[in-house]
Amino acid sequence: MSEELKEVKVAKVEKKNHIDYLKHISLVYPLLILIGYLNYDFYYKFFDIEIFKYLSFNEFLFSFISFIYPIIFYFCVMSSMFVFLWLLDSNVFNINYFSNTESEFRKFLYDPLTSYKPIKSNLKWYVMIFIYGGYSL
Amino acid sequence: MVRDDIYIWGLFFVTVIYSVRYTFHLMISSAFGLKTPLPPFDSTLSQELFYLALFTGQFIVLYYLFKFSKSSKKVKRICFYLVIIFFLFELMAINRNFAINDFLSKKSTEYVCFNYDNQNVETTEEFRLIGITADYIFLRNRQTKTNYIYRLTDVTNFQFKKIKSKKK
Repeated sequence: MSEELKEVKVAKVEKKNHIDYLKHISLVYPLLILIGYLNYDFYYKFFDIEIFKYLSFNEFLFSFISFIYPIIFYFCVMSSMFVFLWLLDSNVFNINYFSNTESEFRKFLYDPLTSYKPIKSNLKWYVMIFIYGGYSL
Repeated sequence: MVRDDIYIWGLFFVTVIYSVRYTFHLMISSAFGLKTPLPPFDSTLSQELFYLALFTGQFIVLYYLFKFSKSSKKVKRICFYLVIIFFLFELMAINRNFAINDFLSKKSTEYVCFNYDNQNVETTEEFRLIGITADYIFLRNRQTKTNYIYRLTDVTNFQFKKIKSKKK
């Protein structure tokens, strides 16, 4: 009985760990305000203006979006490319370009440094694509 | 025996050390409101390439730090979030650097004209726009180094134009 109880407790703890991440979402709001404030303050401090008096919280929140959206777009493109490579690897088109085993690319996604040898050997091409994508923005 | 690789490794270490040093210089100067030196290039293309090299150097440093660290996954995850926040700050510092250097350049890139208290206010090469928020306009006289702050609700007939600089 006691072992069963222990197992149940362990399972509950594991479930809790996943839900615990939701607690940290509340940290995003002050963090965004801090980043927004610093984004303004970095610039206006040069002209000896204390910008905090002249701004509302909404402006702090959304101030840095204008220079972040190219990065979001870049990561969307990169992730879509990775999904496409994953599809190529997972026998969806009945063609396997990268390996004989189906799950190697998935292993790479979870543990990129040690697991996937074919991609590791072609890493320079991926770095080149990454840099070219960033530069083209 | 001199290996050929030593030049590549030398270039690699110079890039990495310079990128880390420049980043800290950039962030500290922006935190204390000082002027940050631009990369020693004129055209925007070479500046973009410079920042690309900067990010690549940092990426390499972080890659090897994560690869050889024996810390737990939890610590690595926290470090990952901290790195993202650091990159955000760095982007802000770079963004600020470009904006300030635009302001300090010879030709202004923005033109603003409006009426305030029955007076016509117009930006010139010496009297320039710093920025506009939701409620205020900030102007600065470059010669006297004085700031002029106008409330937008009291402003009428507001005109704004972006001037394309020929240098770019």
